[in-house]
Amino acid sequence: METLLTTVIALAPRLVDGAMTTVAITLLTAPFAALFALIAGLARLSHVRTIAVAAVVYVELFRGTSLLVQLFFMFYVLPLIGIELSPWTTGVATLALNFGAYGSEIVRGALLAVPRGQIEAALALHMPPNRVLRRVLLPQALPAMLPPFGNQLIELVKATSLLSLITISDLTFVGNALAQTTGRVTTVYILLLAVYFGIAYTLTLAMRALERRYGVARTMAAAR
Amino acid sequence: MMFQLDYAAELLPILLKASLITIEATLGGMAVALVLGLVLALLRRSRHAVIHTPASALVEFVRSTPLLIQIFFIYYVLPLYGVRIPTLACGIIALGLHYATYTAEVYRAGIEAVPHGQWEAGRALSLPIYRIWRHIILPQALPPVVPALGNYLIAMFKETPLLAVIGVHELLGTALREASQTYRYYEPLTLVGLIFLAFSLVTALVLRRVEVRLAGRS
Amino acid sequence: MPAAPETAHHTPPLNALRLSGIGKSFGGATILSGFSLDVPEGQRLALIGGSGSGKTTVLRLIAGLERPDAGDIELFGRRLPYRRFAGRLIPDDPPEMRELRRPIGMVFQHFNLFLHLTALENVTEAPIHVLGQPPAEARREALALLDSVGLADLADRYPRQLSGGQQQRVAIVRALALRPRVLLFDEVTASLDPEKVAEVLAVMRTLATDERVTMIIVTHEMGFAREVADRVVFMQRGVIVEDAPAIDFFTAPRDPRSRAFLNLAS
Ligand SMILES: Nc1ncnc2c1ncn2[C@@H]1O[C@H](COP(=O)(O)OP(=O)(O)O)[C@@H](O)[C@H]1O
Ligand SMILES: [Mg+2]
Repeated sequence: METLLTTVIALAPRLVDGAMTTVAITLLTAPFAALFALIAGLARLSHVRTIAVAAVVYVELFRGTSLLVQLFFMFYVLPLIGIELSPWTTGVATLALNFGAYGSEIVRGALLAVPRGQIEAALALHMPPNRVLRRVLLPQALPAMLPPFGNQLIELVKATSLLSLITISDLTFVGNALAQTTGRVTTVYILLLAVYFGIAYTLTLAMRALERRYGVARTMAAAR
Repeated sequence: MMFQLDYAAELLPILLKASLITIEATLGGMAVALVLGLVLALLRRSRHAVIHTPASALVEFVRSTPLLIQIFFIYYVLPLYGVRIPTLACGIIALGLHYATYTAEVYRAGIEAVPHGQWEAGRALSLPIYRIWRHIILPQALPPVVPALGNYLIAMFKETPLLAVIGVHELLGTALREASQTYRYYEPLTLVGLIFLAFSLVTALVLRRVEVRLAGRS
Repeated sequence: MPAAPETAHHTPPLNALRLSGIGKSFGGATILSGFSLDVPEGQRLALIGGSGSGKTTVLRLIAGLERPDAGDIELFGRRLPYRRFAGRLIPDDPPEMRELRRPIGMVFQHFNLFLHLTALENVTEAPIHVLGQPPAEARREALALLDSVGLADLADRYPRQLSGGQQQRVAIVRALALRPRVLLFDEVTASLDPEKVAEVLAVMRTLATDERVTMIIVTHEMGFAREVADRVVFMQRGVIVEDAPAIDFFTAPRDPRSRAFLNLAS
């Protein structure tokens, strides 16, 4: 046990570095993913056919192929056709596009779930379409998006581990390196799993707090 | 840099052959996920805390940690304790275990949707608990969740490329091996993407038909 | 906005509404065909008929919530320019359509108050953001209107904290806040508890004394229709069966189907 403890202590600084990177990737990617999700989700409901079709193509392309394949494609192929991006940019962009595609389904579902009568009341009050969207549709749809977006955030934390395969020193990358150099394979991988769990759990708690504040129950002022 | 059609044509048969491994991994993983997920779902419903607590903890833990690390864990750690498993089997176990935590949730939803009266009716007939599950609850709980399970089949299919990291020569692994010999990444990776897209679209269509059939029956 | 020649002042019996040759079907089922109806300004028209006869569809067409397959709708002499709409989330009417339709207000059977806004916010939303009224003024007027229907104290409640009757009174006030010249009521008491019906009818009775507002009232409350309406249009399966002054309709209905309906309703 003595040696296990010293191993853990010896590994800790590098693992903490890796964990910080993983958290940074997650927090950097999430807003972009949410933005892409919102744009694509709205675009799919557009009256302008080309916009709606473009959104469908984007969503199906990223949902229909594998994240790792997308990552390698962006990493290996884009430079060949003259697009030079840093591994970080490549990684964050691919993750954001991928999760944006999945998230757009959440956005679309939530928008379509707003009761028709709410939209009709807004139209009967002669509100312009943009205002209907901003003032009636989104405020009612956003709270419903929070729980599924929370799940997506956990999926995102897990997915960031793939960035270790395009040379980014995230938690997984550091862990693999440590497993090789120290030979303490079991300890390292268990620690790795535990740290990921810790990150995911913390984010789950944060999302729950957010839901309590802005979730369906609160914003709709359910009586009592 | 141009996309070279003759190189792509040369690669296609190799990649299509590799896609058989991808399919094997997917079906194997799904089989594990279907069985293990049901077991986990049933364990979580146990009245005894010594049973449902660890089952729940396992589900939460596996679900919240990356599949990639779980693959590494099974591939690198288990052999240290004398568990020797072929590479592809390692991948199948990892996929199956990971997705069992998702299918367990699906099963749970299906089971909870069966009206309580069905249990009471079973007990009123003094059927043994096993028969209630086997002949009353599960036959009602499972059909409605087939589409949700199908979605995880597609999701798992798209995660099989992760097995390339432990040297399974499925689609991506094979494409990378070819690419490393010719130093051309464009064609292999594009083809892999297209093959995935094709498979996804076809399975989505098939699933939709299954869904319609199931909806028609009930 | 294209300026149309203003001739309204010199042609007294101006129609507030004119529906001509309206056709409407839903997924192959024809609900209205060749439906025509003129409503003079200031009239209180009761539109009655059995369930499924197309009353709601007529109101929704006027309010712009449905698009006619055929025919024209004129509002104060101006034809509404419809555009094919894709049936997505929000219809893509031409922008001038909103301007033209602005005199119309509608009150729904199920109130349709905005659930995430308070009663007051429900009322002030359109005056501020559609009419461009200063917020303070809009709030003052909204509170006065809410007060006139006995709801000033509940202005800060959310819809789910209000009873059905209270919600419907807020919904009426919300429509009034835009100073409509045509008001459409679609069975506004039909989903209320019986004891709440009177409070909503009382509000409408007061409204009906304002001669400048044209009202089309779809209702099953025959007593109320008889009391406030000048004219009754009785529909069956999308067709106008009888169109008569209210007194005549209720005292001596001409069509046997009207008689049967009145017998059932009373
Ligand atoms: N959006 C719709 N889709 C399909 N059918 C509809 C739709 N709206 C109305 N209908 C049909 O049109 C007919 C007339 O409906 P409605 O105008 O609501 O009648 P009323 O208000 O007189 O009860 C009914 O048969 C109804 O089922
Ligand atoms: Mg109706």
